[in-house]
Amino acid sequence: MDRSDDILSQRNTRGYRLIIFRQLQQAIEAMHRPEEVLQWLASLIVQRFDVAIVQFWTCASRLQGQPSAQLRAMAGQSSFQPAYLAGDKVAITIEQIARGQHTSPAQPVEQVFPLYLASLLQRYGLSYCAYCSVDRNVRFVSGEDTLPQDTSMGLIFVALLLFQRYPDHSLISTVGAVLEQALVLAERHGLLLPVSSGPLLAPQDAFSQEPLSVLSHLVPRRKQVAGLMLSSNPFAKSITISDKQALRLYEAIDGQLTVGQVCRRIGMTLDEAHIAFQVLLGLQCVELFTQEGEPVDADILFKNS
Amino acid sequence: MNTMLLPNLLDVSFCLVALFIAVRSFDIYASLRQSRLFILGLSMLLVSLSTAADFTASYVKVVALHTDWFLYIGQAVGFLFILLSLVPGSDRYLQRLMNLNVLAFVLLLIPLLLSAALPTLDPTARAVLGSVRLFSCLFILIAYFSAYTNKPTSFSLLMSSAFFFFTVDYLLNFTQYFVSDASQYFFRDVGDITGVIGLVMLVAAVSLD
Repeated sequence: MDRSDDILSQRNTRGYRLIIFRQLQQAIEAMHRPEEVLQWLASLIVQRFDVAIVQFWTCASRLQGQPSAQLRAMAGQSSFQPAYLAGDKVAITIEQIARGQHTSPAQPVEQVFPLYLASLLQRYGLSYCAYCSVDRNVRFVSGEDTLPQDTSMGLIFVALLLFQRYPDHSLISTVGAVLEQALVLAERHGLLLPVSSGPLLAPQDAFSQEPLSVLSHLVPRRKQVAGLMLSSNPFAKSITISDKQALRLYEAIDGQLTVGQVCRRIGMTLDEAHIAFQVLLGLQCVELFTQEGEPVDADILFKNS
Repeated sequence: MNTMLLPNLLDVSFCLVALFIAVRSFDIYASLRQSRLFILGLSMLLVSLSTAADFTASYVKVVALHTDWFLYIGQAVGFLFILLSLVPGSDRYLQRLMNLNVLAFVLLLIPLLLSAALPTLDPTARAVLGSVRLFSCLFILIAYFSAYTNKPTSFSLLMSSAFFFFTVDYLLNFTQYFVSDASQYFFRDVGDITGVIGLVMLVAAVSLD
């Protein structure tokens, strides 16, 4: 079994993401620029997940009529990396990726890049690529950008992964989740600044408030367990909600009401709901969203519990 | 040896195992609201009913009950819905699949209730319906085996094994109509034995913790 299989076949991928998150929590204290966070992440992905080359790009979240893709960090298994990977031609492809689907599984490079660029990549044995993007309402500190940046506009972070052989299919979703966590941490440490947006409360701002007060304004939704029936026994005890309070809360979730409203309906205090949510999130059967419908990283909300 | 012993043993065990899975699925669905569990429950109830009807029909002599229609269609539809529920999809997809499953279940009660009035299932219809059942099982086997290769778990391994034996059972069942009369019993009996082994694997899979 190769190294990537070893990592990804672990029963608890969520647990592994938490390990990376905690390592980054420590490492970020010594970082001063968001590029350092991305560089740390790129090196870790290359080292741990057997990826030949990892790049992190950013693009403006809305089309500006001029190219906005910028390479922020890059790491590779070999010290010799093709120079054209940082060039304009790749930037054009990244711009297209940022406007398209958020995640793409590994596919042959010729399906993503122009043919001449794909054949250059193939000469280095880079036959497959995968990508994921994360759209966030953040900006870099002024002066850090080589391109002019609209401070009222968020950024799309694109992770581009190049492989010599076909990778595990769950790798890209793991990278997406890790990138999202890293960006939230970078925001919390002031390495990324919030855009001067309207009155809506961005999730990252919400985390700086009291956790219970934040929780009461979030909207819980029931989640269909992805691996249920395929890789996990639906009748196993670990799947069922044995905690009575958690079950009561779970049954009251309708996907519309906020946590505060659900608690009022079933006569549960926020403290009790907080504990019940930890049980439900542990079973991966609920998700939390802001009232605007943005998903919230519950790991951060419950990190001190 | 009684020639009906093995088929009856398979019918009764299949009926009980499917019923157990159906009851357990609905029980957990009541609290977890996972659509896949509802589909599994209803599909297994259909499979259980179809084998129960087949078993009952072999003992009822007053009227000729042609429950083969319900047996073949019920199992084909049951396995097809299980297969469709394994396909990764949105909540909306699963909700629609649930509704469709309920509709199919209600419609399938018609051939069951009309089994005394229905004609005998002719070999062509038997072959067509048998092949739907066979391919549904084959694709479920592929889905579980693929899940196992991506993320090896005991559950997906046992489910792959169970559906491998069901596929072999249905394949032998399907083939018996294309061989000489002398070989028919051999194909049917070997098919029934693999079916029972498949059931043991299925029980082992759903008993894992």
